[in-house]
Parts: sequence; C-alpha cells; structure tokens
Amino acid sequence: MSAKTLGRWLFGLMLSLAAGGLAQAEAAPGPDFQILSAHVYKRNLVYYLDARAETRFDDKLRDALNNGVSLLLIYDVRVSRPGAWWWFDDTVATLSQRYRLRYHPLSRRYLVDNINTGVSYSYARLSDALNMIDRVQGFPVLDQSLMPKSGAVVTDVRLRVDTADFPLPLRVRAFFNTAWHPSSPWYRCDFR
Amino acid sequence: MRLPLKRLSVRVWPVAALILLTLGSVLAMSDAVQNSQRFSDHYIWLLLFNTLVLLLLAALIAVNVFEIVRRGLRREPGARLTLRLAGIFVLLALVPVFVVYVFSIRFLDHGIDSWFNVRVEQALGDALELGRSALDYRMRDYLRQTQHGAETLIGMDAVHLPVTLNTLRSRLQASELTVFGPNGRILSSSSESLAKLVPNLPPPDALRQYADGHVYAGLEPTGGHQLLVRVLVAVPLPADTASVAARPDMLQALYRIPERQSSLAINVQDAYDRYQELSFSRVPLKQSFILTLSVVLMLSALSALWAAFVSARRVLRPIRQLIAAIRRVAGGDLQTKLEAGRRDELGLVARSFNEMTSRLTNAREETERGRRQLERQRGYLQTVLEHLSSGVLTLDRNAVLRTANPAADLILEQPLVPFFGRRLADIGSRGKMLYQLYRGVVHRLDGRQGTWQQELELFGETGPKVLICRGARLPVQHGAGGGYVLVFDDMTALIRAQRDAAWGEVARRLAHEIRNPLTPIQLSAERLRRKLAPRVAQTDAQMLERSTDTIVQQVEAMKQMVSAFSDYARAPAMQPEEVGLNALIEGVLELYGAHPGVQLKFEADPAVGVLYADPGRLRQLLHNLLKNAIEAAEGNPQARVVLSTRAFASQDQRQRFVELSVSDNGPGIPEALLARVFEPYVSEKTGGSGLGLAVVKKIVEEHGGRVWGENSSSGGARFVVCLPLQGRAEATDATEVQ
Repeated sequence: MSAKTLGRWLFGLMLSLAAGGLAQAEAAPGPDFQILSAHVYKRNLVYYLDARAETRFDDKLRDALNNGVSLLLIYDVRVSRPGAWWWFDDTVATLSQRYRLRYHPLSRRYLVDNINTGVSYSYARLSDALNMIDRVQGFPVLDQSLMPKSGAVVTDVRLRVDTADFPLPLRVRAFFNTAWHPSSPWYRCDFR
Repeated sequence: MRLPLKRLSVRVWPVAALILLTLGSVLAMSDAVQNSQRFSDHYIWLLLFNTLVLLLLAALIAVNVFEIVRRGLRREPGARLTLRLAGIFVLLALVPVFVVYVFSIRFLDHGIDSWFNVRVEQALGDALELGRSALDYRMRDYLRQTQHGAETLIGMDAVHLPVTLNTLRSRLQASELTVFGPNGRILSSSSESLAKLVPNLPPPDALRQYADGHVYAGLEPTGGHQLLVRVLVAVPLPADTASVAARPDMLQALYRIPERQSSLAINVQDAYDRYQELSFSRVPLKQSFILTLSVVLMLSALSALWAAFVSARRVLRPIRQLIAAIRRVAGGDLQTKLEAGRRDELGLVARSFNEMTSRLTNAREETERGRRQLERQRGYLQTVLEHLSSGVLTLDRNAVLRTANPAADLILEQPLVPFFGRRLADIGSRGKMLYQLYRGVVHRLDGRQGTWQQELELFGETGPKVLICRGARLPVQHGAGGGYVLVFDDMTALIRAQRDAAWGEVARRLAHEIRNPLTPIQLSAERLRRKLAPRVAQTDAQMLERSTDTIVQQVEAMKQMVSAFSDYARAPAMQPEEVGLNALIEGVLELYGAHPGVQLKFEADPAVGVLYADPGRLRQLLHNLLKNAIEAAEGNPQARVVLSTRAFASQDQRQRFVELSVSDNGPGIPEALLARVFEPYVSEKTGGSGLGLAVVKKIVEEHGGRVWGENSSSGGARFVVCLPLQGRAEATDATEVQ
C-alpha cells in the first residue's frame, strides 16, 4: 500500500462525488431559472427595479421543499459602470433581495418570507408562491446621489438558490452539484 | 517544486505541525457534521483544506518512496532495509486503521438507519394530524360563527356597516373583519389593531375556492409562531332581492389561534419538519459522515505512512552510516570513524567499529613494517649473493631451477635466467655446463644426505673447469617444500696453480739434486777411460771405451733432461708481441715439410689475424703438439696430421678467442690417461721426457688460454688450444675496426 495508491483513492473519492453529482444532474432535467425582463426607473430621486423571472423547480428541489428543507432564493443586483473590454467593470453597488420559501405541513401551505421586509405570504400552491417570488416590483436600487455623474451605468440581475439554509449533508452535496443551487444567467439592463 | 518538497519530506516539525493543524480541521469537520452551527458554515472549506493537506502528504510520501526506491536501485547502503522497515511500520499502522475504518462504516450505517424508526415517523405524523384536526375543529367553529355573524350584516348600508362590523368583530373575537363588494372592492373593515390601515387581502387560492362555493376557511401561517384562520363567507342577499344575477358581498374574518394552541401545533410541526428533513437527507448525511471518516482515515493513514518513512530513515541512519563506513573500510580507508555519541546499542556498535578500525590500522602498519623488514633482509641477502664469487643455485623438490646468482652465470658461462622454472633434467644439451653440473650431482639430489661436497669437472667453451660443489637440502616450508641449494666455486685456476707449483718444485729439486752428481759422474767416467785405456788390453779397452761412452752419453742425456726440467720449473719471462698465428704455423710446418710417411695438412681461418703472444713459446707449443701427433700417427700406413685454426667469440660476444686444433689418426688417447694427459710424466710413449704436453699446457696457461685433449669420433686424438685474443692485439684490432 503506497502513498500513490492512497492519493489515487482520495482523488477517486472526490471524482466519484463530483461525477455522482453530474450524473444526477444529467439524469433529470435540472431546475431552470431565467430572468425574463428587468428595467430600472427613477422616481423621487430613487432608482427602482422591476423584474420578471421564471423559476421552474425540478423534483429534487420540490422534494427537498416538501421534506422540510427551506430554500433561500436571492435576487443579486449589481450596479456597475462597464470598463474597457480588457478591464473589469467598476461596481457601483451590489444589493440582494432575499426570499425564504418553505413548506408548512400543518396548514399544507407554502410560506414565502421576504427577508428584506420581514413580510410573509402563504400559498396553497407552489406555483403561486413562485409567482410571487418571480415578480419584483419597486425594489429600491440606488439613491440618485450615489449615481456616478457621467458614463454608462448598467444593472445586472440574477436569481439563484442559496445553499446556506440547507442542512449540512445537502450543502456538501450541493457543493459538487449545481442542480442543487440553480442560478439564472446574469440579465443586463441599461440603467442610464 | 521537487526540491523543497523533497526537503520537506524529511523535515519532521513542519509536517508534524501540518498534521496537527489538519487534525484540528478534521475535528471541526466532524463537529460540523454533527450539526454544530459553529463550523458548519465552513465545512466545505475545511473539507477542501483537508483534501489539499492529504494531497500534500501523499506527495511527500511519494517523494519518500521514490527516493528510497531510487536508492534501492542504486544499491545505496541501507535502502532496502529502510524500505523493509518502512513496509513493516506501514503494515503495522494501516491494518488496525483499516479494520477500525471498516467497522466504523458499518456502525455508522446501522446507527444512522436506526435513527429513522418507522414508529417514530408514524407518531410524528399522527401528532401532526392530531394538531391539524384540532385546528380543523376550531376552524369549522369559526366558520359557523362567521356565517352566523354574516347574517347580521344582511342589507346593511354603507353608513352603518363600519359600526356593525366593529360590534360583530368584538362579538366574534376576530382579529379582523372586512367586507368586500361583489367587484372585490373593500366596503368596510374592522381590525383590532388600530394602526393597520390596509386590511389583509385574501390570497388567490382562497378567492378561487370561495368562488366555487361562496365559503372558505383556511389555516394560514403568518411567519413567526402564529397561526391564523381565514374565513370567507358570503353576506346573504336580502330576501327581497329579485335579481338572480346579483352577487353577494363577501365577509372575511381573520381569527388568531390562541397562543398556547398555536405554539403547541407549531412545535409539533417543527419536530415533524426536522424529522422529515433528516429523513430526507439520510443518504447525504451518511455520505458526509463517511466522507469525514474517510478524511480522518486518510489523515491517519498518510500520517502513519509518512511517519513510517521518516522514522525508518531515522532509525536506520546509524546503520546506513555503519554500512557506508564498512564499505569504505573494505575499500581500504581505515581512517573511517563513526560518531559514537549515542548511548544505545547502536552507539556500542559505533564504538566497537571505531575500535576495530584502529586495530586494523595497527595491524596493517605492523604488517607493513614486517614486510619492509623482510624486504630489507631480502635485499641484503640478494646483495650478498650477487657479490659472492661462488655460484649459488636453488632447486626445488623436483629439481626445477628457482634462482641463481650472477656468479653462477659467470662460472657456468651463460645466463641462467631462461632456465628459471624449468626442470634441469629436461633442459638437455641447451643447458651446457648447467646440465653437466646437474648430471654430476643428480645422484645426490634424491639422497638422504643433508649436506654434501663434490668435485666436478665440466667442459665449457673455454675448456674444462673444475668445480667444488656443495649441496644442502633446504628446510621444508609450508607451500614450497624442500629443494636444494647448490653452491659451487671454480677451482680450475687454484688447482692448476697448486699443480704447477708442485711440479715446479719437483722439477727444481730434481734438477738440483740430479745435476750435481752428473758432472762428477761424467768427469769420473772420462778420467777412468783416459787413465785406464792405455793400460788395459785391447778387448778390455774396447769394452771400457763403450762403457764410458755409454756413461757419458747417458749423463749427457740426463743433463739435457735435467735442463728441460729446469726450464720447465724456471721459465724465462714472457716476451709477447703481435704474432700472425697462421703465418707462424706455416713457418713451423715448413720444418716438418719433408717428414716421411706422414701427411701434414693445415686448414687456416683467415679471420684469426694477429695474436698478442710470445712467438718463441708458440713455436715450442707447436713443435711439441706436432711431434706428439706425428709420433702417434706414425704407426698408421696413411698417417695424417691436420692443423686448423678458427676464430670465434664467446656467447655473450664480450671476448674473442682463437682456437688451434691438432688432430691425428693415431690410436688415440687411452681413456685412463685422458684426464691427466697434461701432467708431467704421463705418457704412453716409451721415449720422450714426458714433459711435452705439460710444457704445452704451461705455455697455453701463460697466455691465459686453455688446452684439452679428446678422442675424435673418427679415431685418433685431437688436442685443442684455445687462446684469448687480448691485450695489444685485440686493442689494435679494435682500433682498426674503428
């Protein structure tokens, strides 16, 4: 038994974990998150964001939800000034809108907590709950005073599932498998 | 990258610290798996860190293994031992670890499975169901109350509605009552919280359900630990309403479940939730436990491996040093020393080794001293032997020639080195005098006699030689047994001088003693004749005459003989000069030219040239030899005497000789006389003084040459005179050549 063999074992273990995750991801159609539209508008010296998203859960997430796992859905909003093509964008502000989605077995309802505001809503159907999350209206993004004086400013938006609320074993698994923490691509809309 | 890794692979403290750190991180990981909030956020990073450390450890071990295998292949000292020891350590460490691992996995599997008990699950489900039915009961109660209450609002106009609603809310003990118009517009609302401006709107699913049967009651969580019952009922239309199509108003009542019941129900639900969650993540949970366990195993195993290699190296370092030192000693470096600072057995070994090398050094120096002394003695002996005038030969048991000194070469007239290592019996005639010497003493060699002495006469290029040879048996030694040493001296000159001296003395005394009475005898005889002759008778006178004549003649003859003796004993001084030998011989032969009945023949070698000698004596030598030969040959009807000369050089080309031989075809020399033919008075002839050949020999020896007689194979005797070409003659020869 040499060190090389051991190393190979270890490597194999990691590989099989990752491969197992991949295989699972391929076996079932994964969850699909999309930002359909987003736009920023100004009202009373404050910029607000309206966005529409589409979230489709796969069975895995739905099972997890129905089995007492709460999901953290987060809108990441990034306001930035695009740099030259060879340089990074200059970030002006990053914000997030968080929702916690969980199942309430006593009432058999899905509960959505808006963590930013502390308001909760409950729905008998998951699609209603997701509909609620899909719609972002009047999310304050930036005060006008913080706005750069000149130059183009853009906003990138995405919606993703955060694994922080997962129980630890699921979190380990989710680390190796993106199907457990789906994310939409960044959606860019012009700010000014 | 390889070099620092290699250096790191043998350093103990950095790696040990790393292993300790990793152990801490593994502990944190296992803590996290058991749901400690402290580390669970960093679980992934801990896992990655541990994996990296494990890879690093694996790399260190690989470097170690590679290094050891490379040393093994290069056959460096101690590499195989290190490998074997490391193998044993590894086996000792890994087997228990793996056994524990396998059992831990099994226990883990069963343990986690045993958490999830069907009955517990059932009980939790039932408890939840129980709570739910209790709440249902209360909900139905609220529904009935609300329906009753709704009847009080029938036909209520907009002015009275708020007040009535407020009263009704108090009566129903609802937290909020709201009336919606047919189009969903809020007609009025009453809430126990005065601050609440906007009433709680029904969720879409409640509205959908209400649309079906104009009644809805549902339990809603409100976040936190509060439960809410939402009831939607239709406010019945007044009885006079004619229109069928008219839609009734909708009354929404919200009731808060009492705190106690609500929190109990929520607790049940939380427990159920937790159980469900655990049950759902059972497989991943097992996997993460196994993963943690595996990391622990890997860490233990790899640490053990690394420790095995490092400790094997450490344990074997003194042995490696010892092996290297032994190799150096074997290569001849006796100055090698080991560190002897350790107190254990290895220190003892090192000290013993150092002692051994110093003893070896001493022994080697001793041997060297002994060898040098032996060398000196040998050189001394060699010098003595080389400068000895006696010839020394050593033979081994089988009479194989081993050594000879230069004097032996000189005496035996040839270099003896070519015969070293050869059996003397096998060398035959090529050995010349050496072989003759061997033949002379061979009967002594196998005898039991320890030491012996013998006189030998050998025939060399320059004539016969008399040797006194002493032999001694060599002591039997281990390996080279026995053998003989032969020591011999050339006695020829000594013996000749002794004989010459003896004969000179004899001749001198003889001459002296005989000559003295001869003259009185002759005078007396003459006086006797003179005095008596006139007085005696004629016949007597004749007799007297004859007798006195005879006396006088014989006395005269005796006088001549005595004179010859005197000449022999007291030879005049040599008067050497350059003489052409061939011309001299021809001159002498002319005197004998008309000798009847004998044919004389001279075979001259023109290379003979000029000799530095006394010509008078050479003539006498020739006369004596010719006379001798002619007398010997005279009996033969075809008597023939042959003279020949020949010039030749000695074998080493250092000296040149002239050889003169006189052969006859007479009866030859009797075998008994052959050895002593040159001694005075040794003659087979009746006449003659018996000094002829003795004089020949004397003359030859005066010229530094040799003479010997032999019988030729074709019959007859042959006398050979060998004279060295030396002195002035040779010098002039040499100058001529130059």
